[in-house]
Formats: sequence, C-alpha cells, structure tokens
Amino acid sequence: MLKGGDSLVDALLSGITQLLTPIYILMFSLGTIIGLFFGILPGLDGVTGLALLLPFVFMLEKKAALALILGMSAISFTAGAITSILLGAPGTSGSTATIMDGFPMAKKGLAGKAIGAAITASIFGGVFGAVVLSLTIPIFKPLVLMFGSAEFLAMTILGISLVAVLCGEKPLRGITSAGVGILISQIGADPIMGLYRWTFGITYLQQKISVVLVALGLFALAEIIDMAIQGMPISTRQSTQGKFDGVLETFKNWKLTLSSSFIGAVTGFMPGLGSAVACWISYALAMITCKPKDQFGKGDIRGVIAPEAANNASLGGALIPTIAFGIPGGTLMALLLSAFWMIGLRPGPEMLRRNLDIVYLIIWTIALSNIIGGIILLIWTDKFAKIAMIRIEILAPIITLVIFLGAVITNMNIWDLWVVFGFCLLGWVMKKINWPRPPLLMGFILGPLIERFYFTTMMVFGEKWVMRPMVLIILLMAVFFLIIGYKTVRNARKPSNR
Amino acid sequence: MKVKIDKEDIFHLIIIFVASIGLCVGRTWPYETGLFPRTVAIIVIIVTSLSFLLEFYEKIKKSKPGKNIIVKSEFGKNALINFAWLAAYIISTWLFGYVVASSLYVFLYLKVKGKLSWIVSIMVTVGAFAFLEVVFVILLRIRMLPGVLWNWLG
Repeated sequence: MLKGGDSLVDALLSGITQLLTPIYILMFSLGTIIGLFFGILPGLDGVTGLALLLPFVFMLEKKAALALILGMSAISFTAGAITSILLGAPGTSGSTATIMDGFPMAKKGLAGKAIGAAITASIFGGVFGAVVLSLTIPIFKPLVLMFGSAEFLAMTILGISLVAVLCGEKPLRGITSAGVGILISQIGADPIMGLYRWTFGITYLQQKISVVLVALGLFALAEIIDMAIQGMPISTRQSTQGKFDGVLETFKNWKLTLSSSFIGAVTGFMPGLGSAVACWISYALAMITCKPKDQFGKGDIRGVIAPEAANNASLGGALIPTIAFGIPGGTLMALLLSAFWMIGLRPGPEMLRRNLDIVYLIIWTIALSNIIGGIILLIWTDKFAKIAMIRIEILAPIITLVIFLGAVITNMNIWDLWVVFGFCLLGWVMKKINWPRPPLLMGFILGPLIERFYFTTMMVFGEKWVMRPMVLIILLMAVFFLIIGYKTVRNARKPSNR
Repeated sequence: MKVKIDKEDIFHLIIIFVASIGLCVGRTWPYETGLFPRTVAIIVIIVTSLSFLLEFYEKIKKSKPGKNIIVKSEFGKNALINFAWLAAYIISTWLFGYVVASSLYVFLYLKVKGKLSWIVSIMVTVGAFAFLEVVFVILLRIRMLPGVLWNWLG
C-alpha cells in the first residue's frame, strides 16, 4: 500500500499493476457481465445490481470485491441504451433521454446504427469521466468547495430552463407539461417538514413515486400500447445501416461527444443531480448547438450520442465528492460508499493520502469496464437490432412483461403496476394529442431537487445567494438557453421549416 | 360557427381542474410544506388556461361562421381493448402473483389477441416462465409478487 508522500505517478502505475492481476480481471469481467444484465432490463440498474451484490462483498478479498462492484456499476448505463433504442423502455434512469431519438431510429430501421452510436458514445463518456476523475485528484478539495447548495439550485434552474428547448412547437404546452411533472413529483412526504402532500390517506403515496415508473409508463408502455393498437411492429424496414455506421457517426460528431461528456461529468459531480439530469441537459444542449435541428425527436443520431456520452461520464463526476469527502451524490454512490466501508476502505481525505493507488485502481476499472462492456455489446448489436422486426403480437406481451418486471422488482408492490398503467394512459393520450412528454419527465426529476436546494440555500445564504459568482454564471447560462430555446421554437414554427 | 371541442381542449380542462383541486387541498399546509407546490400549481393553472384560450381562439379564427360548437369524441374501441388487457394483467398479478400472471398473460395474448399457433404460444410462454423462474427466483433469489388468491386458499 502506498503511503502519503508517494508521487501521483507511482500511485497511477501501482493502480495499473493491481488492475492486471488475474483475480482482479476475473472479478471485474464478472461484474461487467452482471452490470450489462442489470442495465439492459428496464427498471433494473446499477443500484439494484449493487444492492444485490452487497451481501457477497463480505465474502470476497478487498480488491476482488472492488473489481466486482465497480465493473458492475460502471457499465450499467451503457447497457441501458439498448432497450431505450429498441423498445422505447429506458434500461436505466440515465437512458431516458436516449428514447427521444433512439426509438424513432429503430422505427426507421436504423436500430443497429443507433445502438452502435450509443455504445461508442458511452465508451467515450465513461473513459472521459474516468480521465476527469484522475485529473481532478490534485484539486479535489477546492473543486468540491466551489459548489454549495446555491450552485446546485442554480444548476437545477438551468436544467428546468432547458424545457424551453424540449417544448416542441407549442411552448405553453411544454411549460404546462413540466409543471405537471413537478406537481406529480410533490406527492408524498415534503423534504422540509416531512408532512404528507396529496396522499389522500393512501399509504403507497407517502413514499415518492419512482422516476423509473414514470419513464416506463410515459414512454415505454405508451409506445408499445400504441403499436399494439395500430398492429404495427417497431420497424417494418430491414436495418439498412449497421453498428459501424453508428460508430463512425460518433467519431464524426466528436465535438458533441466531448461536450456532452463534459456536461455529464460536471452534472454527475453535483450531488443529487446524477445521470438522469445529465442526459436531459446534454440532450437539450445538443438541440441548441447542433445544426440542422429539425430531425431532433424524429430519429437524429446526435440525440442518441449526447445523452449516452453524458450518462456514462456522470459516474466519474459523481465519484469526485464520494472519494474526496465520503459524501455520496445519489443512491448509487451511497451504496458504493457502503460497499467501500464494508471492504475496509474509508473514502475521504484519508483515502487520498493513504490509498491513492486504490483511487487510481477505481479510475482504471471504470475506464476498462466501459471499454470491455462496450465491445461485448457491439459484438451483439446486430442480433439486438433484429428484435425491432419481430411481429408486435409476439413482442407486445413480452415487452409488457419486462416493463412490469422492471416496475415491481424494487418494491414488489402491486400499486407500482397501477402507477405505470396510469402514466401509460397519460403518455398515450399526450402522444395522440401532440403534447410534449419530455418536459413532464424533466419536471418530475428536477422538481424535488429545486425545492430542496431552494430551502437549504435560503437558510444558508438568504437572498444573497444569487450574488455568488458561480451562481451568476450558471443563471446567465439559463437565461441564454431560454433565449436560444425560444428562438429554436420560433424557427421550428416558420412554414419553411415544416 | 363550427368549432370542435376535441381531446386537446378536454386535456387542457382536465389539467386546470386537477391543479385547482390540488391547490384547494394544499391551502391548509404550513408555509414550508405548501410554498413550492402551491406556487407551481398556480403557474400551471395560469399557463394552461392561457394555452387553452390561445388554441381555442386560433380554432375559432380558422372555423367557418354560422355553425354551432360541437363536442367531438375519437376514443377508439381498439385502444380500450388494449388498455383492458393491461388492466387484466395487473388484476391477475394481484390475484395469482407475478410469475403465474405473466405466464398467463403472455399465453392468452399470443393465442387470443395475436391469434398465433398453439406451438408458438406455448413455446414463448414456457420461455418467459423459465426466464422469470430461473433468473429471478432461483438465481437471484428474489421473492416475486405473491398472489392474494393463494393466501385465501391457505
């Protein structure tokens, strides 16, 4: 074990040496395969996988356990893209934005291309996140201290301002959708006093509705029901472009991949925001910055690349406060932190002094897990893509089964299925009458965060929170995106653009 | 003047109605609990009303004069049937438990709604059952949602 004072380079090389031991490779490969499995099934993600693996962590040697849990956690977002593209059902909460263009691409017979792009972007994002994590080690402390609740609040406001871009041609409908999403997210115990809101005495509603249930109902089941009603398969066209076209597209759009990875790493770094927010912010920013924009939401490959690069990069970002201070930024990080403690690691300044080689081992594991997992998925892409051609009469009951499995697996509560049913009905009606669904999901994700950060910020900083330099920068960006969003909508409404 | 009150208008009105109910229910909450949801509910009511009025005004502008306002219903029978299948799946999950209900749902959907052959229906059902039983019940040792019927029968 390295002691304090050893150079960063020594720790970096020591991390690689430990990574290449047979037991580490074995356990890490096992973790990657388990992660792929959990990521691919809607409703199951790294959190579920980690929760199931925790009891086994005790039985393993420290580094073997580390390899297993990190291999599993790092790859689940990559696999989540597969079902988002093929079935319109997000494999993980970080893959919800991928549905927007991934699923329309599958409908057009471009599933292979979309999956190829998603996996390549995921690999890039994952490696980028690991690089960011390794580069920020020397400046961990000042970096983390730069961000407080005021900055987090500003970041959530920035997130909600991006709704303007996701609204479609009727901005008022989009704002209403986001508002409805926020209102639904308020059902349950309030974060300040713990009092129940809009529960009507129903015990089930006292706990918050899971974002996975909302996404499964609003997008996945609503799409499947719509196809079952029309009697159409996901795609009637044979896949004309394969995975390597998608890989090439990701490299062609390298600026977008890089910027989305950066957004993912920054968003992941902020406790509470996580991959679900990262994927939507990067998607909306892709809509703003990319030209032409008219194909977004209809099957634009850039709408797949941006969220997939971001969600994988968010893991590297989220590990910064977890490792530097032992402060978990979300459920996955909280479980990871528990796993670290269980195997005898103490994340925080002490770990940076005494176990810097372990920190680098974590970084290398994340990077390698993304590369190996991505290659495994790429090999299978063409097989996956054929699912889109199966008759809907066969596919509909199987996908419904998988969606319901994803809904009940966490809590084993029959009410979860009724919630998915309710959101399916809402999603289907919204689809039929051209109401934008993404703002609703974005509002649902950001609503509780805005409320929590608002009260914390007001208690700590009072009205002066808006005068903090970082807050000002983020709020100016929010105003900028509102203006750009308005312009995007206005341009979309011009007859020449229809 | 012929103006169709269609699903889009009704959806607007439903949102306004539900948000208003939410606002009424939340009026007695303490300041910290009620501030955020009440503010959002008021914004939603205002924006939805504005959206409804603007869209309705646009429709009036486009409509022909001299006809009455009519209510148009387009909710399809096929949609009702598909949602009924989903509801039946959930009810059977409550009754028989997740694994049995899923197998039953897959088989009946393939055979009755999909009109597929017995062999395909049985093979897919067995595959689905094996996937749930082997992966989740045996390997992952997850206790799937049990049915209330088995409790009633002892």
